[in-house]
Amino acid sequence: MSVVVEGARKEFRARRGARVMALDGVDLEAKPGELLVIVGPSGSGKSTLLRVIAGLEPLDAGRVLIDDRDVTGVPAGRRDVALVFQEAALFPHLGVAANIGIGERARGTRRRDVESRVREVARVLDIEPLLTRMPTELSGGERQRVALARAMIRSPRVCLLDEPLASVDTELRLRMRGEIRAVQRSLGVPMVHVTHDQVEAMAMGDRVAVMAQGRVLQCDIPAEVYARPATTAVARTFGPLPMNLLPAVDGVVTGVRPERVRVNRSGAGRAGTVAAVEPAGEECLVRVDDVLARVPMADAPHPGEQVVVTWRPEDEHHFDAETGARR
Amino acid sequence: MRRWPLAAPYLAGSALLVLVPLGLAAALAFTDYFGFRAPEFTGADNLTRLAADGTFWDAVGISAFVAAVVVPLRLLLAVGAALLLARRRGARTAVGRAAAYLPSVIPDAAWALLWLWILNPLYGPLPALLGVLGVPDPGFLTTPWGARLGLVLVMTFQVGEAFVVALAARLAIPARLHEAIEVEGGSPWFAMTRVTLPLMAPIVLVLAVRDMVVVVQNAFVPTLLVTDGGPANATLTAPLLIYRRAFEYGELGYASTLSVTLLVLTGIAAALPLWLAARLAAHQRART
Amino acid sequence: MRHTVPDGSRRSSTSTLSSLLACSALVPRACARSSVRTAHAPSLLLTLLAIPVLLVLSACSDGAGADEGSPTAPITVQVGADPEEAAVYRSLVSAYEEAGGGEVELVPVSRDDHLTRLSTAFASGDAPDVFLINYREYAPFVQRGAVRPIGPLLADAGVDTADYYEEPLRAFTYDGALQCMPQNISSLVVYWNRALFTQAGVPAPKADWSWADFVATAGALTRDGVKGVGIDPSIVRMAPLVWSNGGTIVDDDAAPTRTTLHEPGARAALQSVVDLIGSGATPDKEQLAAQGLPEQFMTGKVAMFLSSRVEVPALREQRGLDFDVAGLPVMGEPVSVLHSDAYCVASGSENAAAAAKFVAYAVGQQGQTLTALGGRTVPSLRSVATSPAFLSPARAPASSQVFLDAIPHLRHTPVTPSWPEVEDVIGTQLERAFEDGVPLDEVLAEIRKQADPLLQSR
Repeated sequence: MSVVVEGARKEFRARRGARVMALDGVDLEAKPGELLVIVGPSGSGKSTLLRVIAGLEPLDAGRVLIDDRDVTGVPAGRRDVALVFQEAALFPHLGVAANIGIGERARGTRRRDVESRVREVARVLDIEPLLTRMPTELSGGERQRVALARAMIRSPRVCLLDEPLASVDTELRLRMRGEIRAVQRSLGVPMVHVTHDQVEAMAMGDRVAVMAQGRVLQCDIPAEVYARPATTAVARTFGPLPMNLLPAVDGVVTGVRPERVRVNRSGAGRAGTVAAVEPAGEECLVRVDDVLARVPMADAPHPGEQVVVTWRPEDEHHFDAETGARR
Repeated sequence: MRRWPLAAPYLAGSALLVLVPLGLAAALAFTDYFGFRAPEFTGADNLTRLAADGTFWDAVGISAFVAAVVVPLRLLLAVGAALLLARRRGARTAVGRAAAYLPSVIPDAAWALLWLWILNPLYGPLPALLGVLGVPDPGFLTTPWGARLGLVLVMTFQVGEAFVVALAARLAIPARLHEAIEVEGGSPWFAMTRVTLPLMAPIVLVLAVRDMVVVVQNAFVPTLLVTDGGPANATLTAPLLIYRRAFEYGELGYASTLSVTLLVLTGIAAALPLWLAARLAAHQRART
Repeated sequence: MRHTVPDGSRRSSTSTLSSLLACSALVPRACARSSVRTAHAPSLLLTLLAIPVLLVLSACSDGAGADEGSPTAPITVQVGADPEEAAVYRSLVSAYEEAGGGEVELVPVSRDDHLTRLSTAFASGDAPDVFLINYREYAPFVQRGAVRPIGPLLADAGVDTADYYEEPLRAFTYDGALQCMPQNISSLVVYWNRALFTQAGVPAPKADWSWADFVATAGALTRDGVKGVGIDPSIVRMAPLVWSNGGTIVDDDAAPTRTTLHEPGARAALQSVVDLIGSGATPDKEQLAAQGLPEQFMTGKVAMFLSSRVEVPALREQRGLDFDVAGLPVMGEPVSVLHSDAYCVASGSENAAAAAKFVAYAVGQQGQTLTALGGRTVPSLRSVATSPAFLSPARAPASSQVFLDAIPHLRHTPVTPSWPEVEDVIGTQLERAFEDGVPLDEVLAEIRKQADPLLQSR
């Protein structure tokens, strides 16, 4: 089971006639059993891509294949895709059990059969006690679990998640990441998960697709994207901190991750003045002129101090100044 | 709990303009009063007369019939138009919305006179159209059931306010709920019956209650202007009868008895949708 | 039920319709009706609910005592009139003011709404000082204390009732006192369209023509697009036929306790009308629903129709219409029914002296001459009725003498408070017999069942 998107183009007409390319030639594949995370800032086209796969948006050009079948013209309801919405999209007038079972009912399954399926899925997700409640009586995490149950119950070919954890608090978010992975493993289908949260992308994705301005800039395993960002844009956006990109020399931009920058009181390297120091637990972020460094708290300099920043040559990334592409 | 002073102007207004006159009308209901001399208390005489007043109960029956047919039709029309015109933006939607609202912009009396022409047996376009289509003309102004049908037609299309309210209720439903049904493969019918309508239900319910009152009351204008209660009292609705009792025969005391009675009956009728909705909601909640 | 109107023609809603249709000819009429209606139509219950409040407010101003005010104090006069008639009353008012009378505010109300407006005006304590009302409808107002007997007031203003025809004075005498002063002595006549008679080669109606002549004439006039005659299904139209045939409407004209339309003389008269309708010489149900009789007459769709003098101002305005009037056909005795309106002074008026002065002028030589010239009235003052102001053949109808010829045979319907409702009941039932083909006996039984209790109630 797999999802393939080929040459997807989608243009929106914004207000006052301006045209916006939401998808500008996107190629993407989510392999069987894979959790593909699409990450990017808002407006990058990631949600549109998800809606295109689900069949909620038609494409201007390109095609979508699910299990090698071209579904570009197939309506959403016949693509056999599960979609978990941001903020769960529960039906406020229906109880939890009815919310979980509504898809089955929509497809015409008999009520009695749906009831047993609902109970089964609820047991797997450990939400049986919630079945008799109304959505308004649920916490944020419980709502998302119900939404996951609704996705699971149909054994879809593809599972799509649209920022499901955006409105969940930090602690719960950590736990839910694990649960989503578990669900994905139990379903064994490709899962496409859209988020703007870099940390979540790194933590959850088998592979990560970084999007900006309607294009996929890079699609690879998280470690590779982190280690070898394909463009300056990826380097800037992917990772716990944006990569330092130094002014171009001879048409080459040099980049170095703040995690790899060392701050010394003396010695060789780029000399500069500490502009700001932000404590971040065990470590702190130090800005020396235009270079950001992450250093242990114990080594933290004071603002205004004269320091020298260095890094190992092998930690340098080189990009074409004009195209931004990795060299 | 300390916000009640904010309601004071409203409460004072409704007390002065509604409750006090209502109380006085209720008091007048037990008198003989013709508007010239002070009312004369007559005890339960008016109630005895009311009980035996076949014409009034016939009129109540006609009002009930009209409400029973017109209220569902009006709701169907208002909600139907709201569902049809909720979807896209654009010129067609704008024109459609304007068209749905337009009849309500026309004053009731002008609307009634317009229908008087539309239904005219010799010169009206509707009988002419039916003639062309080969549909038998029910005799909109000439036969009892034809006149009642005409009355229903006059009263059905002025649903602009209800349409706007229903449209607002429809637009308040988050798009993702419908997308969820779409992804799950639900038919448009399923989406409408299991999602759209249940979510609009509380508003539709309010509309039903309001319509019940509006229809019973508004039946007055078309009956006065279009059918004049005829032919042979076939469209003599309760408000028109009360109007005649009060202003043509000058019996204001007994007319008060009738109008208070009608008020109570309308109240009971308006409670009907509320009761129905409570049953539906309980049913909805319990099932998968 | 259809609305009764002061003059006695029963206006159905269809007349409003026809006005709407024939907009070019009748715009003012349609507009007058609908606009007045609009003012009170939409909020019936609110209006009803508001009455008690007005009552409380008006209670404070009810204390007017014996003071009759200055004879030139400003007064309000309400009349029920179509636009053409209203113009006649307007000229009367300005002539009065020029002749040194006090200020008069004329409130012309469409005929359908006249009674309603009057009732609400009284209920809200804002009654006009003077109002014009038909004798068939004034009884409830007198019985309920709305009217100040006009006899003594007029005597003070120098009016001698001996100068007036007696029949209307009798009709407006209630409880032994003259309550209101009649302005006219109209009666039911046959309006006929001269052009249609000529086209059909039918001779003009003769005086004292028989019912058989009438039926034959109606039949001869009926042809493509034209019906011979139109008769409203109302008791005021039927009454003279019933009387002419030796029947009665009620058991006792002075103190009626039951209707007698089912008795042989009356029933036979009604049956003759049903037979006439059955002959196809009258407009069918759809034609009646589509357009009122006066409008059908004006537009040449009926060749004859029965009404009183009230139609004249509007008919005169209709271009190209050449009409005249003829006496009612006779079944047995020659007889017609009185149509008469009178000026009443409201009992609460603080300006009774001024009100009486105005009424004296209106029913006096000058006033009656003005209204007679306008075509609206058959003067109740003998000297004017026999003057050229009324009789001049220069303006249609040429045969106004017909109205005067009817005077010796005039009778009037009973004066009793429940009469307006009785008329509605009879009208609704006659409509069933005339238009829906319901057997006459069934309808007559229903009239007894519904109307008799009304007569007995008060």
